Amino acid sequence: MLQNDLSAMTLEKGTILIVDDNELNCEILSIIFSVHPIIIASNGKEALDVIRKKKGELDAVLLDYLMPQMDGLTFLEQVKEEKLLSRTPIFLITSEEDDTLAAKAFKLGVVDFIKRPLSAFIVQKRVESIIELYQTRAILEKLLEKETKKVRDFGRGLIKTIGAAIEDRVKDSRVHSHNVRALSRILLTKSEVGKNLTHQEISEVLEAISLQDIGKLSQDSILHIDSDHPNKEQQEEISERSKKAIMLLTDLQKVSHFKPFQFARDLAEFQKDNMEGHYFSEKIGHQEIPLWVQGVAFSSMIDSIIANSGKSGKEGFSEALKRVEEGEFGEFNSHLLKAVKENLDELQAVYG
Amino acid sequence: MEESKKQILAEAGINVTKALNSFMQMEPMYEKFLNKFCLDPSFENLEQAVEVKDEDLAHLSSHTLKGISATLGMEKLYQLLLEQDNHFKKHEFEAGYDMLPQIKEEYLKMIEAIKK
Repeated sequence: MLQNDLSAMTLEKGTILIVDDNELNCEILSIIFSVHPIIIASNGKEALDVIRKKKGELDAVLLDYLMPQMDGLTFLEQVKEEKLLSRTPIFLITSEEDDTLAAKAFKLGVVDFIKRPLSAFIVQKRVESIIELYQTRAILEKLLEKETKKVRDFGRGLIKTIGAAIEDRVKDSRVHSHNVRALSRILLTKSEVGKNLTHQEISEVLEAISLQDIGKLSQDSILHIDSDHPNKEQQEEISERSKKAIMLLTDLQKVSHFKPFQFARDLAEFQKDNMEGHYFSEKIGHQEIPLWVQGVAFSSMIDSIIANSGKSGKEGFSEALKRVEEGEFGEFNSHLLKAVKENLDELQAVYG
Repeated sequence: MEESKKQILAEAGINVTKALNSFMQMEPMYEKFLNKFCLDPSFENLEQAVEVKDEDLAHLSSHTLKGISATLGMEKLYQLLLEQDNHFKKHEFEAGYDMLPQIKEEYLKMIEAIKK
């Protein structure tokens, strides 16, 4: 299938930019590469103008060294600084014999150093081969991107299905997941709680929230916990379930290398650690635990407190937060509490 | 290109066979550029630059002429310009300027051969 896609993509002849102040050199190169559209610039400055306007259309740049106004090396420095041509090969074509110049040019990004006088056949082959290589690489990158997206979409579908199955096992679980996701999204995107995660990773963390409870799928019956301070039996059950989740998610991560499984595993690890101490233990404030994990765990805890209190709306949220601040659930990371205070209105709005 | 013309060029020291490699063996195109060489302003620019001691223009003109002579197979002229270009690169401008008479002699030899 990949091969079919690859064959379907034809290698079109793009434009070649010739940068040389000498008419003779330009004309010879124009004839050698007559199958391509040609643009001629007589110095580095003109060439930069062309590139800024047409960089996506260029197949290659054939560059002379010594030119008036802006020479080849200054041109290369500028191209590098502005990151103008990362996907277009630049060839330095010169009568210079100096290897130091060649070294400098390679360092600045030229792919080949061709000495004059030219052998038309050889220069044509060298340039065309590299153009083809660059084009093939670009096509492969596009295909890889397409295939990666397919795998990611499949993974997302799988996670949604597993998440729905987990949520179906426990009463009110769907509402809880929804609220935790909404609270976590605010904390991760609008405060330093998500500072070590990319935008993509934040989406993946949010997808992973239901997965941390994957252990529920292997349990015959699930205890309904409606207390803010679960008893020993409840703690043991949650701990067992978290251990199972860690095992399953580790296996899933190994075969798929899909990040949401890793994130869900991090959350399950935290849940297990908590259960081996207190339900909402002081470990939540432990600096070694990534801040984003604490953010999600905090969101989950707040939502559970509100649900158990029987109070709804903003009032329920404010009361739950007050109990947290008074220390009923142990010590919390100061950065996390600061983030909560800074986004209080938005967090409250999750509850109407 | 007629054989007699090739002979004249060869006698003047132009390596026609090598030069034709640059022109994809297209003799009419090579001939066209030999004729263009006679009109190219680079040598005139070099002479003027030496006269007024314009270092940048002298270096640029010498370098350009060096590239053209190499492409057209003018091996001796190329060697002289290479030497002059190297002087300019090392900022030995007087030594470079002093080479002008030799370069002019060889340049005129080329023009004469092309026009014959």
